[in-house]
Amino acid sequence: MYMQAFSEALGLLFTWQVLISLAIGTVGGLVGGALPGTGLAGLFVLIGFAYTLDPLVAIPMAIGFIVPVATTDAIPAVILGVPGSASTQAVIMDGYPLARRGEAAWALASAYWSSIFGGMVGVLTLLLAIPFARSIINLMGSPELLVIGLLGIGIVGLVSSGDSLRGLIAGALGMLVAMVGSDPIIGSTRLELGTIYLLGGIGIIPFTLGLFALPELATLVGRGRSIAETGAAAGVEFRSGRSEVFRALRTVIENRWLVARSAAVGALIGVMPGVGLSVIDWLTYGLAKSTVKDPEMFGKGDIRGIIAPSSADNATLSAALVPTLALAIPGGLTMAIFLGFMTIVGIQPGPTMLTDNLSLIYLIILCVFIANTFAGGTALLLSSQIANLTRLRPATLFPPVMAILTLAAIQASSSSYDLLVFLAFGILGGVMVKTGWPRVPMIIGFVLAPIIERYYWLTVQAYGWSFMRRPAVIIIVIIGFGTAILLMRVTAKAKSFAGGSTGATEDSPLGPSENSNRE
Amino acid sequence: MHTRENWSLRYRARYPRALNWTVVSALVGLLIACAFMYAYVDAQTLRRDAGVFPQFVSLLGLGLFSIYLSSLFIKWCRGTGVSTVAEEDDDVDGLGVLRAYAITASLFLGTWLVGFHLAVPLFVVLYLRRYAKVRYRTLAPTFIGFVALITIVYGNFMATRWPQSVLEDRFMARPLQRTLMPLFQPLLDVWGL
Repeated sequence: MYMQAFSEALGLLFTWQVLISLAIGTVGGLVGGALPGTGLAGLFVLIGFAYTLDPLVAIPMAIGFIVPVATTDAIPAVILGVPGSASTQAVIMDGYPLARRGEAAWALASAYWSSIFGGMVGVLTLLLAIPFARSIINLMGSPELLVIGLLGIGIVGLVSSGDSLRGLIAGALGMLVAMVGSDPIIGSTRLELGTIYLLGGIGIIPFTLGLFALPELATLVGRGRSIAETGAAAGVEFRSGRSEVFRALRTVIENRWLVARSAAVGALIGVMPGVGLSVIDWLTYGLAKSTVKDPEMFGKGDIRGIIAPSSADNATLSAALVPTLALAIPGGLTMAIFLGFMTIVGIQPGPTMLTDNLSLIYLIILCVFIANTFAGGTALLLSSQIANLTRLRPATLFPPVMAILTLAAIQASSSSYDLLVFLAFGILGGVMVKTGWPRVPMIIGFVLAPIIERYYWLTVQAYGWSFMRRPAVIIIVIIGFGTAILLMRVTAKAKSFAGGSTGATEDSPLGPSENSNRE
Repeated sequence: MHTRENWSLRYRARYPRALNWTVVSALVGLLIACAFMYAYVDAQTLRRDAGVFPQFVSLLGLGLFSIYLSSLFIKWCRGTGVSTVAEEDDDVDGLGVLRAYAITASLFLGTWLVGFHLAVPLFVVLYLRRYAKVRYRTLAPTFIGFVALITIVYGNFMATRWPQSVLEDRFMARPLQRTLMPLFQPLLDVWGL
C-alpha cells in the first residue's frame, strides 16, 4: 500500500506541471527568504490564485515557496546582522562576526550545506512518521479527533509568544471568527450581524492577509530603508566562490554529528504543534554551545554556531508537516497558512488524507526533498546574486506586493466587503503586534474551528458526554498536557539561551521577537 | 546608523506618562471580551445545534479574559511591574506604519470608486513616484503592465468576477473588464491564447 502510493507519487512528480510549479515556487521562496518581511508574502500571493489552480500545480508551488525560506534567510543574518526570519536570530551571533572577518562566503555556504542535510533528516522523519501516524489514526474516532483538535489549539496558545493566557484567548477568538455565517451542521445563520455579506462567513484569505500580511508590510514601510541599509553592512565584503563551497562542505562533514544531533532535535520538536522556529533556533544553538568541548568562540564567530541552528530549521520545517497533514493541526504560522491553502485548493488535510490521499502526501514529501536540495544547491551557486536582493527598498516592494494582495483578497467572494474585512483585520493585527497579543493561535483557531465543531457534533450525537470517559480520550488529554508542559519548559530553556527574547510561535520575519515583553 | 527620527519615540520622550501599552493591551482584551459577550448573547437565540459551540467558545473566552484581567490587577497591586508589550523598535517609524495603513485604506476606497483596473495600477505608479522616486519612463510601462495583469491574468484567465465600482455603475455602459479586454486581445491572438 505504501509502496504503491509512493510509486504513484513518483509518477505524479515527474510530470512537467508539477516540476515547473515546484521550480517556480522554489525560486520565489529563495527570493522571499533573502528579504526579511517577504518570506511568506509569496505564499500569500499564491493564495490569491489558489481558487483557480489545479491542486497538482498549487501544492508543489506552495511547498516550493515555503521550504527555501529556511535556507536563504541566513543571508541577511550573516551579511547584515539582520535576521531573515524568526529562525535565524541565533545565526547572527556567529554569522555576523564571521562576515566581518571576511568569512561571509564560508559562513553562508556552511549554512546552506547544513540546511540541505537538515532538510533530509526532516524528510526522513516525515517518511517514517506517516505510516506510524496512519496506524494510530485508524484507531481513532470522532471523540479522539475532537480532543486532539482542541488540544492543538490549546498547546499553540500556551506556548505562544506574549503569554499563555493571551494565546488561549486569541485561539478562542479565532474560533469565534470562524463561526460567523452559518453552522456546518444544519446551516442556520449565526453571528452575521444582520448583513448579507457575512452570511457566507469571513473568508480565510482576507482574514489571513489582513491579520498577518498587512501589519508586516506596514512595518516594512515603517523601516523605510532596504535591509542592506538597515544592517550594519559597512566593511563586510562578500564574494562567493567554489573554494568556499568545498571548504564549507568539509566543515559540515567534520561536524557531521553536530548536524545530525541538531537536525534530530529540530525534527523531534518540529513534530509537536506550537513550537516556533525561533525557539528551536535558540535551543539548538544553546545545546551546541553546551555540548562541544571548546565553546569559547561561540558568539564571536564559531562556525558551529551557524551549522547547528541551520540544520535544525530545515528539519523542523519538514517535520512540522506531520501534525499538519496527519491531524490538520498546524504547528505554527507557516503551516497554518499552508493548511488554509490546502483547504482552498480542495484538499482536506487530516485523517482522511492519510487514508484517501496517501499518494498526495508522498508527493508533498518528495517536493519537500527536491525543493530543499534545489534551494540549497542554487543558494550555493548564486549566493552573491541572491544577496543583492537585500538592496531592494521597501518603497519599491510595497506597492506591487500590496497590489497583488488586494487582488488576492477578493478572489473567493468577489465582494468589495472582502477589502473591508482585510483592512479591519489588518488594523487588529497591527494593534495585536504592538500590544503583544499573539496572532498565530488566532489563525489556528480559525482554521480548526469548523473541523472541531463537526467532530463535536458527531461525538455528542453518537456518545453524548460519556465520550470523556473513553480511555483513548483520557490518554490523549494526559499526553496533551504533558506535551504542553514539556514545550513550555523547552521554550523557557530556549529563552535562557537567547537572553530573554524569542518569538515562541510568532514566525515574525522582521527581526527579534516582535512580541517580547519587558518590564 | 539611521538618521530618520522615530516619531513615536519622540512622543514618548515628551509625554512619558501619556501612553501605557499595558493599558492598551488590556483594552484590546476588553474589545475581545465584548466580542465574546455579543457572541454568547446571540447564540442564545439560535437552535441548540447551531448555538452550543459558539456558547462554549464564548464562555471559554470570557473565563480566560477574567483570569487575564485578574492577573494584571494582581501584578499592579503588588507593584511588581506589568509586562509591557512589544519592544520599541527604534528602526520602525510609527508614522510610516500609519501612513502605510492610510494608503492601503485609500487604495481600497479607490477600488470601490473607480474599479480595480484603474485603482490598483494608479496606486502602484503613484506610490513608486512619490516614495521610491521612480522615473516616469519606468512608471508608464509599469502602469500598462498592471492593467494588463489585471485584465488578462485575473479577469480573463482566472475569470475573476469584479465588484462593480461607482464609476462603472454611474458613468459606463460596460464594465471595465469588457472595455479593456479588446485592447489586449490582439496580444493574446499573437500567442494563440
